[in-house]
Amino acid sequence: MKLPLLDDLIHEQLDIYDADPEKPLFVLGPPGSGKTSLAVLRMQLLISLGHSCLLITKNRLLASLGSQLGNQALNVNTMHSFVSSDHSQRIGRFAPEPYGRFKYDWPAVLSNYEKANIQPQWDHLVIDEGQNLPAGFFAWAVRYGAKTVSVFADEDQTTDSQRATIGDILAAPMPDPIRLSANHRNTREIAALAEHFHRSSTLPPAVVQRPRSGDIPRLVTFAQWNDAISSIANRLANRGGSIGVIVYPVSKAQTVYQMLKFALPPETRVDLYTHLTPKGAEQNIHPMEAGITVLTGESAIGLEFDSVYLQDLSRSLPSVDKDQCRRMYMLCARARDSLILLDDTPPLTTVQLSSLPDSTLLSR
Amino acid sequence: MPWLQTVLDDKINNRISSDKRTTPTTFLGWPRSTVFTDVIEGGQANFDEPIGDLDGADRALLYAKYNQVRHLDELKYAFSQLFQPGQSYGDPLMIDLGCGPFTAGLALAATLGKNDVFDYYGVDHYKSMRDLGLQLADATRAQGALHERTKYQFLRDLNRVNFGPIRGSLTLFVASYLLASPNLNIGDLVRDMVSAHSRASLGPAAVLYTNSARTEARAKFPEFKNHLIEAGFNLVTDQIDRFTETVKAPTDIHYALFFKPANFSIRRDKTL
Repeated sequence: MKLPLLDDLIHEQLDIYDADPEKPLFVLGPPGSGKTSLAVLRMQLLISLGHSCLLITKNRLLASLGSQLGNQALNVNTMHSFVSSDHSQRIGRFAPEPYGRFKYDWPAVLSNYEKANIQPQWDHLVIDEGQNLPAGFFAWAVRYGAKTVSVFADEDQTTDSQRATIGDILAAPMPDPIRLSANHRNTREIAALAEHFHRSSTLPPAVVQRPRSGDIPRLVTFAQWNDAISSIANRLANRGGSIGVIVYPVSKAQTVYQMLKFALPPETRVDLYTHLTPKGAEQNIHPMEAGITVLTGESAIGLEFDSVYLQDLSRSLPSVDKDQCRRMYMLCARARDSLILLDDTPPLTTVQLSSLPDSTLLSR
Repeated sequence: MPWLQTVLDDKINNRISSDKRTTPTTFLGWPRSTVFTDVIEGGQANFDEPIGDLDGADRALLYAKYNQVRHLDELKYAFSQLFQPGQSYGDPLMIDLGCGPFTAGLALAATLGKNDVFDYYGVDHYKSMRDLGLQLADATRAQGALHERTKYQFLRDLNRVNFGPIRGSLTLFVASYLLASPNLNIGDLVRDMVSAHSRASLGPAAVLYTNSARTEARAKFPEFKNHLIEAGFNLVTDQIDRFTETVKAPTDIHYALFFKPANFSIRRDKTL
């Protein structure tokens, strides 16, 4: 009996990088599948072909990361900043926000552009983490944002109230999506915990390519933040690498940041990023470099760290509804090598604790 | 593989040898010389139907004693070639068609070891086989030979399986000595396989077929092959070889492997 290795039959998926630069592209990328890296590669390809192009993200830190990955040679902006300035420049007044700041009236925006007979200025928009942008933005981007649009998204990682489903993005219109199938980020143990919260019947998690590490994610209970700070400082001293400390709410993130700054030598990189971070400060945050980044769950989308301390649990547990599951799926998958869930005060309820998986996935 | 022999002894061999009906010339009171032909009917018996003093559970037990070891050796040998440590296809989903007493599950556990996770769905028409399969699977777990997250289920109807959230890992169908069954509708079988794969995964799928090399046992293979190719599978291997890697007498076996690449799109369903 002579049979081949199944691994040898499984070919690499279509190379997104080689996708026709003149045509729109819709890519679905589960956690760890390299959406942001591929978005940056597509930008670089387009630029090399002489296209004018702009990378659009949800938040400033991810925009900054895209810029860093592109060696500062890319045009990068947040959706809010881009739409706001484009509307002001080309329509001559602010974009209508009848529902609150940055909550645009998209039909009115579209109507304004149509009446003014606006033509796209950019050759190409590349949109990263598109699931966290409002559905109306995609219809606008396809018609008025650029001649061609590429979208990288995963609706299973949605954390924002203004969001877009796969269907919303398809309706822009965008072509049928291509899914990314390989997870190059997480260890098997971390991916298994993240996938415990995966509920989609549409997009599967990407298949983990890294081996087992033997390091099962842990739930650590502590009464005082000083204990957690010591643990984080020790890990940085002993293992180095990038550490993400994901904390809720913003006020607690600020406190944790101050405690870490106080506990660590002054030359240690300790950064804080929340939506309150002054504009421009994100340019000086390098989350993938050795050191610590304290941030909120909303700001963690699209980022990865060697180690993650995840305190932002109470909003996502018990994982009974889709939004809670999506948040946990996304947050757990930020960790490359090590994931520690932090149960601080007030402690998680019995119901919340019992909704976490058993010791096969999470040690306690 | 000490655990495997322990499981087979505990759940099959010792139960038969210690049964009060067993004598030096009988198993469970049935003459040994006619068990293969009359009790298990070469593997094609109605295993839920009593015969003489034997009930369905007895017939399944005797099937395991007579047929399982050879099938197990074949599948272990096949899996040792198909799988390797550190695989990039994810935690495999195995759908064992006409599973009998957990034969392919035992072979996969022996191949992957307790460190790799897999999901096993054993599908068999006969309750006595499913019950014995579950006993063997539980015994395997009790021996510590399965990863803690490995799961198994035994079902009568593949169409009733809820595979849960969509996955991207490999699905492996095992059709071992299945096509010899005279009542099998090949078109329905392949349709059920394709439906199960589309419900379970967007990842790649493979079908491992093994059977006796006898002409009558292989009669339905061409139809099976054609339906699979129509469903998007590629025929990778189709061979007849003498199989010698067994404690049983060497025999010619017919084996084939089909493969269908992953779907890099997504299912277009009502959620879109």
